[in-house]
Amino acid sequence: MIPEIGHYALVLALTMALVQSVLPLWGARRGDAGLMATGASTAYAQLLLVLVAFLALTTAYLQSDFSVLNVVQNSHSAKPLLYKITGVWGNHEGSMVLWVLILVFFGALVAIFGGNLPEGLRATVLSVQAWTTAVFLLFILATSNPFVRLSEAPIEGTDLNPILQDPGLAFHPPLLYAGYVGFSVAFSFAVAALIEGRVDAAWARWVRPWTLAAWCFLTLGIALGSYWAYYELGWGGWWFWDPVENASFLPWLSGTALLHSAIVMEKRNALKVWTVLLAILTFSLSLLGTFLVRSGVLTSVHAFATDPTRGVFILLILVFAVGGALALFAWRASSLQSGGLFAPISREGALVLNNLLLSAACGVVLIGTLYPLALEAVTGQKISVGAPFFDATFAPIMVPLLLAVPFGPMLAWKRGDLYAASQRLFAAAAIALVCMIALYAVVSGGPVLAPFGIGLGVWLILGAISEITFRSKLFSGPLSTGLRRAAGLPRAAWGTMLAHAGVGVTVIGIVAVTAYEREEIVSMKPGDTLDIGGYELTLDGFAPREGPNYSDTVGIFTVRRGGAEIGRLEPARRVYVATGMPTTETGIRTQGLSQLYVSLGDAGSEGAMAVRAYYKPLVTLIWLGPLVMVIGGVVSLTDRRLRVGAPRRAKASEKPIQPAPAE
Amino acid sequence: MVLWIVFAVLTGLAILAVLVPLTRATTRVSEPDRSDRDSDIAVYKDQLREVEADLERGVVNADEAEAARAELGRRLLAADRQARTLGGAASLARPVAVAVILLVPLFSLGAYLTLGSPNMPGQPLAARMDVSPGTSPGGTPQGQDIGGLVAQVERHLAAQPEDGEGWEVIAPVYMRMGRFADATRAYANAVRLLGSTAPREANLGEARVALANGLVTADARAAFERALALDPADPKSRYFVALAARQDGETNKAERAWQALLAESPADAPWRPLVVQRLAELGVEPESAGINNRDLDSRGLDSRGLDSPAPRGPSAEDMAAAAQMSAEDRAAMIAGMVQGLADRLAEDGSDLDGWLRLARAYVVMGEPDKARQALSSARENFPGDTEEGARIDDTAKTLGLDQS
Repeated sequence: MIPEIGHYALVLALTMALVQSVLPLWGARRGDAGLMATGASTAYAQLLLVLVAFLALTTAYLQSDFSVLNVVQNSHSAKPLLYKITGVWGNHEGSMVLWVLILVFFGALVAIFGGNLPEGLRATVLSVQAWTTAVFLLFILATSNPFVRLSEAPIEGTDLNPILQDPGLAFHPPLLYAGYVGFSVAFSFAVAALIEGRVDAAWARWVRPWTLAAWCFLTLGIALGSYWAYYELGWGGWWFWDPVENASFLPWLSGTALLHSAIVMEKRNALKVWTVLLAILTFSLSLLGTFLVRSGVLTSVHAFATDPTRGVFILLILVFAVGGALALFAWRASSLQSGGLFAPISREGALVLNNLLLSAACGVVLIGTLYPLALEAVTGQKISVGAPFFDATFAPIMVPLLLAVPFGPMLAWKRGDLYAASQRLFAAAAIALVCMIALYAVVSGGPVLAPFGIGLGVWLILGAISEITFRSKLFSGPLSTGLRRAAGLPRAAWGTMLAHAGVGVTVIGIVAVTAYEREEIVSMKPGDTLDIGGYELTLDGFAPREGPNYSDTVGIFTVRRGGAEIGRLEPARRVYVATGMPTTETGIRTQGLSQLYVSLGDAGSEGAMAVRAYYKPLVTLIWLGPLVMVIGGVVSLTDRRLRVGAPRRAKASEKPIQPAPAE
Repeated sequence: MVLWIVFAVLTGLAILAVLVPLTRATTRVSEPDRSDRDSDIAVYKDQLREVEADLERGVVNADEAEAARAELGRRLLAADRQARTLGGAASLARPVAVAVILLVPLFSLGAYLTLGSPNMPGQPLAARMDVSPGTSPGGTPQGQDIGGLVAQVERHLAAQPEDGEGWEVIAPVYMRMGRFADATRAYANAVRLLGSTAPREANLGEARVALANGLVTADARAAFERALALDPADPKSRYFVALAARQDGETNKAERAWQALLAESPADAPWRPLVVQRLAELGVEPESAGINNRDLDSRGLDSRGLDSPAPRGPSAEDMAAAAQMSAEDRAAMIAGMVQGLADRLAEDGSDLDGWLRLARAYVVMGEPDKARQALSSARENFPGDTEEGARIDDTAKTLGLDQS
């Protein structure tokens, strides 16, 4: 009975989405308050109904109800509880239900917090949001129904893909989806603005926090996915420029651009048209990501052609959403009034530069991701576009962007003073340069550009800190007053500093690992010792170990440094019972910010086994950086002030800076 | 019944979600131009207050605050100019309400009834485990029971994984069910917990071969070699070690080993036909005397080599399984295969070779009447004086079924 309740709730949610996509919009056009008011309540109804459906599916997984086909295909009664739950979204059908659940959740949030929006705008936004919901619910029910039943329930399921049985998976997709779907709110606002033919003041206030929230989720999701690939796949890499990864990276790049242009819009009422376009593009890239991952087009263009129902459906969604929104944009954009003016050298100018570079980077990644697919579809030739392409194209775009980042917050709105900004950043630049030279002196070997990269990271961090010290005038008076002033700075400023410093942290991690990593791939027998990165790894032996639904062959390593034992590493080769599929479980030991990373390969002759061992200096910074960025985003989100960019008057720069009022 | 009540409640809630705001807000018809502009102006006023607050906290200085105020003033004026004109409209609440009350249940139920299975109860595993054998609902009772029993043994083994006897009991069941991975694990556990014996090692090896789709892997071979170290005469291990040699391309070695196995086997040993057939695949006649292969006509059962998979024939694993079965079991297995062939031909009679094979099989099983029946069915499918008809007649003659 429970699966059927879920099924019906999902169908009813589709009905509600259809109602919501028509009535509020109609009401907004007619000026009918009654029709407009249905927008909020139908949004709540959808949240309730999709939640019922999701919980029904979860219950089926928890109870191992094998009369539900989806459960048979993706679960097993012996699976640990955590993976029974994550199994709900560890497959195509369930993950689409989660996608829609998050979508209607955001829709309900718009309804709850939209009280201060103009009624017409709120109704239109909710209707546009419902279009997306309706189309995806239709997609689920027509091609990926998770509630398909079996009349003869088998006694056991076929288990979840073992590589997905990992705590990393428990949080990666929900975060990623929250990011993807969060951008749908910005999209709905953009389309609503185009339908209304004007951008309200409230519009600008709304888009930035929504984008920021979605961006935080997406950043966490990508970082978690990267770490998951790092420790689960056993290859020691943390980013593969794999199309699936790029699919989430594309909306992140354009979402970051959107975030910055939304700031300009909120504070200065400028860049309206561009922000609307970016909002449309960002959600389109989210949809593209969903299409790439869900249609099967990535495994092979031909596999896609053999079972095209799902792929074609998502492709149609993509064409209608992107094509429709862009057509609307072409038609209506001219009616949007452009706002405040600004000089090229100004905070706005810096943000425009940021937008241009991020968009270019996004374009490069898009080409690198789609070109192989297009080539295979047209000529049947299979090529892979990997790290060399992106190193040669993506990096040169990012370097000037990263160099410019600290300047942005130092420039004033409307018209800035580049020379003054440079003076304020002098200390940061000097320290970064010293770091660079010191590295050249100390480190031998490694790529020539590596110290430059580290210096770039230091520059980003110190540049971010310089902004806070400058704005709080930390060193121009007693320290206590300076600190008090720093604490009084708007939280948005702290958010900016943390986010920019987080980028620097990530850059340092990436450069350090890429340039100074040590790798050994050897065949080891029990008793053998391996030297790597100043550590000695001794293989003590192999041991079998039984888990709830898998059996491991564990290699037990003792880690010594300078003869003293500092710990053990236990990488394993794991075989899952139900599928017989082998996976690797890496052994990772964190020393400070660096890691020792060992994974087992194939068994050789006479008890030997292939062992991959890596010493990865500062590798954890790669994931700590995004964490710092997200903390920055959250800090900025808690700043509920309204923002006005206070432009400096043309003659203001001639006046001495006013002393801070006595506090 | 409960299900339909739940459906009704959900539908009712959904309709109310539309009707309540629709009728409640209907009393006032808003003036969107006013409300939009008001909301803009409210935002700008909030922003002005914010500028004052910033000035007080010293975040901006007086000049900047002044500039911000001027900027907001400009925006306020612009907002005033943007006022749109949209007249209030007559309320549509009643027709919309009627449409919602009718269409929401109609569409939802219509879509659900085409997609869903309202009469199918949920079957949580725990509840199914509690049902005692024989009373399980739905499905084929017997199949369900075997599955249920297996699941109960599995539960027991999950709780007490050191119970070697349990593993040994369930392993052959897994083999029959085609769950070779589970069978391999069960036999491996039996060997680990109960100790290594020749039959256990041989069974473990066989399960590994089955898991590898008939290929004798290094792991499997190791198991057979351990079995032979314990009992050099163990026939199953000897058979598979020879098969490994053949798969390695050492045909001569394989042939010698199989010939030796035949020579040392009793005339009614169940594995004999299989070995004979393997030799036949190598194009070799069995040397050993007392060959007793008439009970399993190799052509009649059309077994196949590993390299040439043909549809519907028994697999190498089936044959291996047949080799270790008792005579009764084997007869049952053959009968099952013959019945399967007959069923298939009853559905689609265009397979002449199938008919001839069926007739031969019935003769082998000592049922000449059924064989005649099969041949006459074949004639019905291939009427007239054709080449096929001639072949049917020839077969009837060779099998001694010629009725004329």
